Amino acid sequence: MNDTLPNGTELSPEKTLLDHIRRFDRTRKGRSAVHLHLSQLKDHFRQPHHLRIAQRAFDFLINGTESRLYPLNNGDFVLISKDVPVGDMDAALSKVRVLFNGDPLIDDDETFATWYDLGTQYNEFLQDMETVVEASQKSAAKQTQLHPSAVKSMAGRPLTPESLDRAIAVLRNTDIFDLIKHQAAIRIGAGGDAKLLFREHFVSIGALQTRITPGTALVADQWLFQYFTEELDKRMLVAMGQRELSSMKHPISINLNLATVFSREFEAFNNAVGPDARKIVIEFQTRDVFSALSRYAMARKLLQNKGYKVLIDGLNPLSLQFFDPGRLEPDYFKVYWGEEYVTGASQKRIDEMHAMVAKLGASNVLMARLDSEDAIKFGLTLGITQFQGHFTDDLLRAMAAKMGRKAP
Amino acid sequence: MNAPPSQESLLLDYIHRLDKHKAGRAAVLVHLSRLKPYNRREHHLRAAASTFDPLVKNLQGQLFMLESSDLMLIFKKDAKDAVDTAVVKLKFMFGDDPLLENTPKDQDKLCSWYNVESHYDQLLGMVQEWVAAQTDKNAPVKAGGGTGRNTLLTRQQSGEPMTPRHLGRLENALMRADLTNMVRRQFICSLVGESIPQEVFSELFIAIHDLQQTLMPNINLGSNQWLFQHLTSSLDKRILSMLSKNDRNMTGEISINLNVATLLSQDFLKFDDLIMASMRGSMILELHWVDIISDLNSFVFARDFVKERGYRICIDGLDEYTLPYADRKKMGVDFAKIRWSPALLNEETMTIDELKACIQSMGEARLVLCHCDDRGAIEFGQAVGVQLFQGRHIENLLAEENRRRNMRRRKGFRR
Repeated sequence: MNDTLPNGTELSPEKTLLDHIRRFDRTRKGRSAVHLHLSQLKDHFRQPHHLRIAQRAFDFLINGTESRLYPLNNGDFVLISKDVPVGDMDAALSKVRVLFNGDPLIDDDETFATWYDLGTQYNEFLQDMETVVEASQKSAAKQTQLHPSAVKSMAGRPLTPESLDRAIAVLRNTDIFDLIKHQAAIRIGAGGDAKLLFREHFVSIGALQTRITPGTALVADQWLFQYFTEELDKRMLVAMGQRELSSMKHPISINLNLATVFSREFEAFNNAVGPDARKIVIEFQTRDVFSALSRYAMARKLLQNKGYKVLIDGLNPLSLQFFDPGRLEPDYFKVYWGEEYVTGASQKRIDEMHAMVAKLGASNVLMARLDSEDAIKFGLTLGITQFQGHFTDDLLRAMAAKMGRKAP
Repeated sequence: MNAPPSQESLLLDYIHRLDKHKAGRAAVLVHLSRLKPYNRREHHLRAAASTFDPLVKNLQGQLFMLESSDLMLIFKKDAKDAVDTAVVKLKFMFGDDPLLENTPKDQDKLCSWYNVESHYDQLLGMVQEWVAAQTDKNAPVKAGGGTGRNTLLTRQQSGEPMTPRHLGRLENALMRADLTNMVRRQFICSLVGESIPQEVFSELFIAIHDLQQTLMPNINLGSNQWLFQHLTSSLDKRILSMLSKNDRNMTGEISINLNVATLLSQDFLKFDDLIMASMRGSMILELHWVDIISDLNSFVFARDFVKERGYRICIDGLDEYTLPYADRKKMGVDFAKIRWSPALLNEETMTIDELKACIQSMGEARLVLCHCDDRGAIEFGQAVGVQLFQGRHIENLLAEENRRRNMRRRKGFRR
């Protein structure tokens, strides 16, 4: 979309937009503009490939009428047209809306798009666009500075089969014990007190990447990463079996692939655990479970017979709309609600969530990835009593301090 | 395209599910592995298994052909007489084998019998061991027959399991290889009763078997689901570029297999730009269930995008386990494909009534039963309400019909 100058350098869409607006200063009649605030979409929708595809919604206008689309660096789109009926522009906008269905942005006409009749609102539009362009350029600059450590640790060249092969070879000879992190899952009692449900043990992938494959993004390819985790499981079991279990006072959870449950490493782990199996929750990813349901059924029975608890990880409101995981009969369902469901969810959404929780059984649901205590309050209104998030550990500590004892 | 589950794991699953229906069932393990090698060739094993066909067809028993060559039949006790008759036939078939020839009449070295109710734990433990031996790919090959022999046999027959290194080599080779001669076309037909199959659409795909034979003989490309899935995304690029360069194959309604991530990639946008707008309406994009379920957010986005462009979508890769979870209408797709397998007959996974209800809610004209390699698959499909079929048997019927049509035409000329 960028315009190219005769000397070969590209003009930014922001600059072209302002140039364009100034050029038709004297021919405003019949022109209109729409500013789509796509920069306000939730992160997961604001990906370059999403925005690239959303541009296609305007193809018929660009090819058939005197219209031009400016996709700005911050994600916003600006459409400028001449003599195009509102209905046609509506058609393009509703195509965009369909794509981002589920994002709160599109629920509200005002926040989604601003319309301008340039015959009468030219100056207002120019002013607004100058502000937008300035903000867009700032945000583009800021994005590269944002969370430099987080970006640095997970970014890099995407994993390829060859680099996966090397990563696994290195992993096999690496002690990962010190990379194991944990996070508490809690249960809130009737009196409002928080008790430890279990502590999830997981390997910090960012730190692991820095250690074994600096410069390569382990999670960039979902399939290769999934393969990688099968190896990681084994290292994790070895590490846990050697050190953590001897002093296991409190319940824990670990993430495993189904295939790992039938491996020799798990057998050894199981022998080391002995009767403590009842203190261990095994978490499976939905992707793994649904790709091999018969293996899941086998693994679940095997584990539950030995006393382990089974958890289905990675559910979200969308997946619950698509299928009912109730038939999987695990001990827990871990559901990631996302902040957009917690704050500002419509009554219709809240009702749907109520129904989902009731269907799964409130006592089986664990609400995960919480960012605030508000989320807990929201969960409690849905009947959920089990929570996990980055502040649940702090909460337990605070509770314990209040009661005058050490946190579990 | 994935490797089917082994008979041992199907058997284990079956035994687990029998837990609540143990009463009135018995099992017989037929030790064909104890026969001399010259009595254990492929056709012997097939013939031996077919002795139990009538029982299986009448839903009186379920047969598993194990990797060791042994057969395991689990049957309802009412059918004991029929099972005895089948065993007598077997003993007659292999009467010249030293195992039977030199054994006194009162000893049975060919068969071990189990009462499922009283021997349940013994059976379960035995089968668990078989499965564990298969699952643990790193299990050392033990000397002297048994499991070691079978592991070796599997390796020789289906190839070494694929590693990331193999995948890397294969994907590099793919960039240079000419895949045009590996593209196959199979028709999806509606078939009512005994009538002639009517073509509804055809699937264009790269034959994985040929790819393996040409580029990586001895490596089992389907041995790991995740690596295989990665391989399919490389193939996506190739098929898209082949189709946009050469639309000779693009006649009629056609379907191709793609990954969700591919639909969101520049490769697909380029393809979408290159093909004629009218083509989009006659294309069906097949997305694999595992791929869809792996990232639902991306699926929904991609689905709405391609549907708006005019493409239709088919969910591929359903089986008797996933079918109850996949609601075609809720998922907003046009077609769904379920893979035919004799396990569909197995009422323990899903009763015939449940299956019928599933098919009806999908819409009979929207569900394809694929991998129909024989007449039995079609008969079963028709009995449960399926109208669309795909597979080798359909291809044979179409070829036959073509031959007949040609004959008629030639006769017409002569007149």
